Amino acid sequence: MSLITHLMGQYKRLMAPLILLLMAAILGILYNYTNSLALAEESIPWIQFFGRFHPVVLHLPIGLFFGLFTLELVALKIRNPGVSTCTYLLSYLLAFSACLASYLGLLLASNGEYQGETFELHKNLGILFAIVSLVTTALKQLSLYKRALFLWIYRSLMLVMLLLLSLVGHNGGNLTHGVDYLTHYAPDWLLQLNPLKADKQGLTLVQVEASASNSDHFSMHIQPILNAYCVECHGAEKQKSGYRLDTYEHLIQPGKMGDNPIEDHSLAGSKLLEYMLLPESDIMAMPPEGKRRPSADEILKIAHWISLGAEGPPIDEAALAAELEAKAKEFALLEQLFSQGIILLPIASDSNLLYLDFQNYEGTELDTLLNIISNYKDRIFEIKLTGSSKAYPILEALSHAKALENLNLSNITSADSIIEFINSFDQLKTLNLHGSDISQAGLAQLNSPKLQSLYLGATAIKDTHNIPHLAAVKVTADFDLSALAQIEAISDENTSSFKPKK
Amino acid sequence: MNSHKQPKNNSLNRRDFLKNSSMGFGMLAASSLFQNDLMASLSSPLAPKVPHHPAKAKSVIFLYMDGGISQVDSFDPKPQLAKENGQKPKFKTDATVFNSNGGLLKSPWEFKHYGESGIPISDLFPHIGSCADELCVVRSMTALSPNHPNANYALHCGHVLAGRPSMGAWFSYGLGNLNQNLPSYVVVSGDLVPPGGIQTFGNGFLPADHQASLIRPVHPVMNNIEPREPVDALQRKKLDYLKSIDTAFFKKYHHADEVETAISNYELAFRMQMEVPEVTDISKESKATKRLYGMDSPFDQTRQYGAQCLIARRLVEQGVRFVELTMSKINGADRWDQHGNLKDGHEMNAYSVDQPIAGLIKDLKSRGLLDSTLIVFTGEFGRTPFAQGANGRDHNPQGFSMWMAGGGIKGGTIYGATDEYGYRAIENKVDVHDLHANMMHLMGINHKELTYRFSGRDVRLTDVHGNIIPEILS
Repeated sequence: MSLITHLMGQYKRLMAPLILLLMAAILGILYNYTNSLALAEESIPWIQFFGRFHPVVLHLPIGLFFGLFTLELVALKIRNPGVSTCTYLLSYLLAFSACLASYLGLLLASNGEYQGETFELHKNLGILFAIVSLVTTALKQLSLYKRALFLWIYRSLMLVMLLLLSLVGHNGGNLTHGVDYLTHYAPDWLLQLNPLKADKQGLTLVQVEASASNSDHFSMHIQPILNAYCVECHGAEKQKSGYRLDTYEHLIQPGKMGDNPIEDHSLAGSKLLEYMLLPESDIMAMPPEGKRRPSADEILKIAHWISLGAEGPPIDEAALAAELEAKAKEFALLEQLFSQGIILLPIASDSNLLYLDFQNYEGTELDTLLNIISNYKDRIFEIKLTGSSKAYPILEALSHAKALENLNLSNITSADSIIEFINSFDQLKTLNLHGSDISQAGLAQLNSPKLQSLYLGATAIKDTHNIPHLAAVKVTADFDLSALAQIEAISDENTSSFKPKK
Repeated sequence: MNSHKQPKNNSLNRRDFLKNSSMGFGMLAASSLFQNDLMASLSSPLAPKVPHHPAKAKSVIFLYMDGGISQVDSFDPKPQLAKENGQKPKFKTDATVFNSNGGLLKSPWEFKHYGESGIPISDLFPHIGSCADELCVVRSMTALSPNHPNANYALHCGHVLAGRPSMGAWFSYGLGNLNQNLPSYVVVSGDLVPPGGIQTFGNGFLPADHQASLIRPVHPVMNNIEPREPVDALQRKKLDYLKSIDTAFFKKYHHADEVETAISNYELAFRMQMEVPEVTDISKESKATKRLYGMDSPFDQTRQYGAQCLIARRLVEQGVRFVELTMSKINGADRWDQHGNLKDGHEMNAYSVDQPIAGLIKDLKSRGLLDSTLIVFTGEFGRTPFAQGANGRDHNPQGFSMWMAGGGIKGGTIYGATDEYGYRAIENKVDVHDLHANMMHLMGINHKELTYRFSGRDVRLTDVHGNIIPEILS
């Protein structure tokens, strides 16, 4: 009996550190998990559902911290067992709520709409705060045993937390309300005290006008309006729905809905204008309900500018000439490849990544051509070598290509010999070996670190379910004919009035 | 080339600069000064071009269900029709083609839920049902016209009148081809000419390089593809001579597009002599593959459509941008246009296409090609939920079903809805412009940016319409 009570006692004492460790572990796991999620808002709505509680929950650790801080100050003066018990309770609550706020913050940020320095600072400091609160709680507990030492570390950490909390809170506020929210109505003498504030954000309209040339209507009249009403949620820090309105370049780029914010000469085609004109109650209205909205004059200014052609800031002619020359040079090389039946071209107009295709390659001058191609090695994103007999020299020349994610080697021969090159592609995600002569031994060598998808239909590999070293890879085997006869029977039965001649 | 295409004005503005400078190497789709300069230097008009944004799909297979499948008998179950079978419709009906409208007509077929997504599909399509989790069924499709030729032109060309470029031609113009020995736009014909005729596949005002090449799934797959000369060198010599005459003419008449196209078409045809017989030769496919596509079916039309699907896969594998399959004419087969004898006609057509299409999806998937191939299955309109005569259905452009699968499509989803009778689309209406806009979006084209200067304005496939539908995209 006494043994059990003893163990129970031990168990109780272990409970507290175990809970703290568990919370830290969850923080670590979530940090890694959300880091690996890229722009996956729609596919995992529950993450966003919970994430949006972050702005609510984060107020708990703030209140609890100041409660705890005050109580600790009181405890310095007054020795009262009640106060002392309260500090233990509050420190656990603080650690717990700080961790919860961090969890939810990580989930919220996983939609990819937040970026930039302010965000990174807020995220990292927020996590640090949660960790420090865990440590202080542990120290508080330990101070029961080794009072003096731990108590002093604990108290100095409380001061660190005070500093951290101000920074985290300030950056978080900037993220939500915009950088100049706090200082917008501050008296001038206070602004002068802050040397960091002398950036462009703090400039008055007059100063902006002075800095832009007279012909630059956009920077003088349009961008300031966008800065005042839109950039808070559609700027460098945060890009709701993937839209940014903080530079001219971004105004003519589509966001998640596929539309550009503005279409020159088209008032009806400029979504920015449409959303600004919607009544505040409309779900698509921008700025949304509750936010300050632009005046009729300001909206007219934008409309007028769009109807005149939405001209941006003047261009740098020299930069344009240099750009065109560089493109023309590059084009000449790619043209040479193309004349030999090799396609090497960007996967999109605004992308540096390249698609490489040897489908029409005639088989001559391979060394010269590979010399050209290898200059672009680290920009190649996808390679199609279906049925090619030159897979070995090509992949040898391109081994360790850093951006390669998709490699199509269907129907190639001597597949086993090139596994070593395949393994050198760090970012390879999809590998197609359909119809190739890959052997069981060759497959055993395959060890590409980021591989997610592997096609092994029509190969000698029949047991695709049992490849131990590729357990994390989605292996697609040949199509399955086993259910076909059954479906055919159903099909025949259903065609009761029409019988195909047997 | 592209002498019709003038930039909006001659002075470069910042917008043009941004568009150009961010783009690749001139093998581009969008209209711009820079592109025109470099396009001219390219050796082939069908050279691949850089998409506006990264493409989800590289090729389209368009399964044209000529005549119009009945939505309430295929992908849009309406139990209300069974409850009110035979009764006069309680809702307001529009004029129909024949105006011999009877009472509501319940579907002669049962629906089953398929796959993990549980998409209901009628007993007409058990094979396609086995691929349900790949499909995105759009139940709120609408047509621009209730007449075959006009609805067909609208579906293909975005306009109800004849003479516009077909979407395949637009894709070819915007993206070029990934294989220089094959045409970019191929129609694998089942011999049933669509209503409105061959203009359905035309290039309209785009250069003639972009019109469809028709091939058949039987020998000879293409007319005049075999050289008449006994030795290759002789043919080459003839072609070179022809080219020199044409080029002189071409220069004299200030680079007429038509002449240039003719020259490049001769050259493409020359290269196709090797490639076309090879790519259409389905005899080398494995027995299992042929079985998958229904090539062992007792029914001639199933075997024919199976061969068409198999050729479509082989073309897409070779980098052809746009492949369209048309319906069969053999043994008195006819389009899905059952004004009478709905049960017989729909069953016969479904039996012809069901297994080959499911085979195509499964085969593409196992080859890793489904992710880069967009499959579109649609008629030009749907059919009425009420009867025409005793046992038929009339045309219905107000609401019908179509589906897409493959590259960039969110499989296992249903988008939009018709009313409780399946007559009108009432939720998330989609029209042909939206369909085209989304197809282009998946292929990496911004449908608002791909234009061709014609008749004094920059014309788009989607005219001034078309919305991207994020809900159907993965």
